[in-house]
Amino acid sequence: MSPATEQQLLPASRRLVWGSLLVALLVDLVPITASIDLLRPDLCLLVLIYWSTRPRPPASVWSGWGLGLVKDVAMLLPTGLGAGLYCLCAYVGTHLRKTFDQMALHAQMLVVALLLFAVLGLRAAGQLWLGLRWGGPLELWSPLFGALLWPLLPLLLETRRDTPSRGLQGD
Amino acid sequence: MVRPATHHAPELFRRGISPGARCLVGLAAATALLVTDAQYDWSDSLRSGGERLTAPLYSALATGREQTADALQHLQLQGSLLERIRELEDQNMRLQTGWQSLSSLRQENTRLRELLELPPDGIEPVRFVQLLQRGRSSSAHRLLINAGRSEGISLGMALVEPNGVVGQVVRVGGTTSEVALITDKGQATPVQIARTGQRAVLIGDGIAERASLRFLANNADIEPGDRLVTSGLDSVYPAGMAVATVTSVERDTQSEFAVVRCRPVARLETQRHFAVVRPLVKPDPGSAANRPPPDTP
Repeated sequence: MSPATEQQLLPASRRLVWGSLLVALLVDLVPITASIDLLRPDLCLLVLIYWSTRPRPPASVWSGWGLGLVKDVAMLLPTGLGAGLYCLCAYVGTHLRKTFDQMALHAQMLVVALLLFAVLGLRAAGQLWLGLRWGGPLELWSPLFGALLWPLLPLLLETRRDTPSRGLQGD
Repeated sequence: MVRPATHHAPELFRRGISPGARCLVGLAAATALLVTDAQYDWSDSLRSGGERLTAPLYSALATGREQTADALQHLQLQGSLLERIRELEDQNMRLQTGWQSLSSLRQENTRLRELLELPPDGIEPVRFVQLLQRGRSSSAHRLLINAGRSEGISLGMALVEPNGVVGQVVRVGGTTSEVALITDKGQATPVQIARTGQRAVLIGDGIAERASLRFLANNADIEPGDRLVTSGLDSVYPAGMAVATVTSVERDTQSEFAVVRCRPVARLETQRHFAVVRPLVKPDPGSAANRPPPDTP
């Protein structure tokens, strides 16, 4: 195995994983105009999917569950809906990990878009079941924007992860 | 190299619950949360607890946003700042002149109400508040404001802005409160048509900038452009506050009621500063206004 491949297989540091999830959550919470808000992709979910598709997934089903619950509470959404969906996404991401490794970037984007659409559909179904309305057709754009952001994630998160630690250099 | 005795087993050989089982447990727990919350509405306490953690975050985000907007505005307006000051001075002068006549009218009104033994009328802002967060998706017609129990906010208080009625406080936390907009699905606001005085109930459609008048007879005197004001009958909103404008009236002969669509006059989507108004005290049944008129000989 080449050194470059070895580096790629290194697990991401917990600090980076939780830091990126926290930053994504904060960005999601920044208040913007309601009409644009519907188009806003779920950045936190995107980062969660990203981490769950990495080798030795640093984001587990439980992290997804907890994060989803925090979002439910913070964003005045029905309690438990986000928790379930985030947990499901983390699981699907973990499950797809090996397939993801083999895929080209555009194929990954397509899978992510489908996953985000599925989440949107399940969320809308949950809301309708609870007697609430969903955001409307404008919200259908948000998974597409989310998928378009996918190529940025490795650029933002991968570079720092690839830096070899001192211990490994010593080995 | 000899490994120390305390070395842990590699990740590969660790045994635990499989991800699939974890996912199932997570989904079951989430469904249990959803169902029990829908039945017993227990999440208020969780949200109140969570609110202690999120309130400083929202305040920081809101402050950051305000400051950025201010800085951008400052850059944009630098050239026309003097002109803007002049405009505001003119506006202030007009408002002060209007305020003088208003205060004399208010005094006169108070004296007349005292003579008639009517309960006090008028708007009494409890506190001026700022928007912290707007709900997402199904909660898009809910707002989180930066005042709660500690600031004297209580359930049922009305939220208003200079253009009109915004909504009603539906949950009160320690330092934040949740407000249901008048466009929130099922949110009812007693109104009357300003032109005719006919009373009706405005119900939120759960769609941005839209609400409907319900149970208004097909032959009711109402037309597009009519202004709706609060009737004050619910003891929540003070009477006479602007609520919405009628945008369309559909009269179907098959139906008993007309379909009346309205557009709120308050800037629900863009306004960030509001006033919370105290609910009006219900009129005392024993007061002069509610007593039957004395028999005249």
